[in-house]
Amino acid sequence: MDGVHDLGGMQGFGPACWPGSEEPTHAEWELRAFVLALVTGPGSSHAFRHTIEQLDPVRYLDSGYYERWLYEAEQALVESGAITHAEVAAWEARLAAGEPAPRSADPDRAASLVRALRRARRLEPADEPRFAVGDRVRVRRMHPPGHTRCPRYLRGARGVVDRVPGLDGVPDVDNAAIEPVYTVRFDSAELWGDDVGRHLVHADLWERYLEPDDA
Amino acid sequence: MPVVDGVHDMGGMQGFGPVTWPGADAPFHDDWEARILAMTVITGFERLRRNNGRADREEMAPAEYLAAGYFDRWVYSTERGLVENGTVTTAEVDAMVERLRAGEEMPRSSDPQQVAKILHDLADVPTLPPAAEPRFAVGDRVQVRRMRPEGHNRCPRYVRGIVGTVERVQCEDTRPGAGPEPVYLVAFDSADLWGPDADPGSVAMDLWEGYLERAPA
Repeated sequence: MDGVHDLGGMQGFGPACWPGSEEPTHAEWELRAFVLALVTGPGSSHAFRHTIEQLDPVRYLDSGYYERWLYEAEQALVESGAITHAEVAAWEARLAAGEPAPRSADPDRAASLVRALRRARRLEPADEPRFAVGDRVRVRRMHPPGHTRCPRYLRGARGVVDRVPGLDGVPDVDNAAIEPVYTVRFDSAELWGDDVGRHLVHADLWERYLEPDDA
Repeated sequence: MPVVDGVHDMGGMQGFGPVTWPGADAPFHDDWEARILAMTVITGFERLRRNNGRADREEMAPAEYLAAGYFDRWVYSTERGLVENGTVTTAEVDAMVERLRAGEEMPRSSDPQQVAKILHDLADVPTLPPAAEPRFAVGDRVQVRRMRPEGHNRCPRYVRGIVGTVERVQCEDTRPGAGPEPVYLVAFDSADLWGPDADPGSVAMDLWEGYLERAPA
């Protein structure tokens, strides 16, 4: 879905970095939201992102990074039947009334999650990629109904394959399809004309987002 | 730096809810909306504010912009125009808001002659002249330029780079940030905008000549 989350190429959202912005979290609850989302996780980044992208646009823009994670975790838990919205509301009231937050400690589970997080996943090399380094490609025009990793501002733009990092699951279809991923290099003039200083933009794009540029 | 390609450029985006709903066709949905329309028109006619409405509204913070209704945004730009013109100060606006909150009567002004003059002038819409020397003719294939313009702009992001067909040469009009230019009605095929599986159809819009170039053969 081409919603407000697809901020690439848009202006007016303020600075991307500010003093302290490199900190992994900015409040303790953010760490808890991270762990909650991880422990209860949907198992697919597609479902995870698609849920977040369905947030109301105003709420999406008003929310911080981990507020969106918290929203996703609650939605996923409600949809799986693990909790109800009423239970969440009741808990909010109990916590607001001063009841301490319930805690759970399972060191074995924590250790296995940390191990899983630290396991670097290397992409398998692409045996027969359709495009080779140096090939001229064009990003397809599309209007995906669900989650996609193909930003709107690149669609229709012509670029050059810079690298073929390997095979990866296509986020648009729940990672079920495996396809070559290409790092494509775009000239800024192809994206924004001559109105900006010349620079290059690199984006990792799945094979299905691309077509050969015959022109 | 002025915000050009901001969140206000919603064409081609999804997720903002229905465009129409029961009652959406009413010109106003609250009394204050008619008042802000009148205030904006009068202060414009009387040159009491800087007239930069759209560009100002496009600089609202994105979440604030989306949360605001149509006339909420007019309040924002009219107040800003009045303040920047020196007609009122922000402190005066804040003080008046406090007084109204405290229950003070809203000040009213009635000048039937001024109203009649403004209504007369509003109805007297000048017809735009025909395009002087149009570069493109009906049927020509044109491509919308890729751009990152400075200042307010009327070329939506979702048509940039797209090839379309000139359907009509509309008139000569002043392009924001530039001078008078021919305006064309350009039609785009939905497949060129959103891919081969888009619902068939076309999208037509008015675009200034400066936004267009001849399509490569």
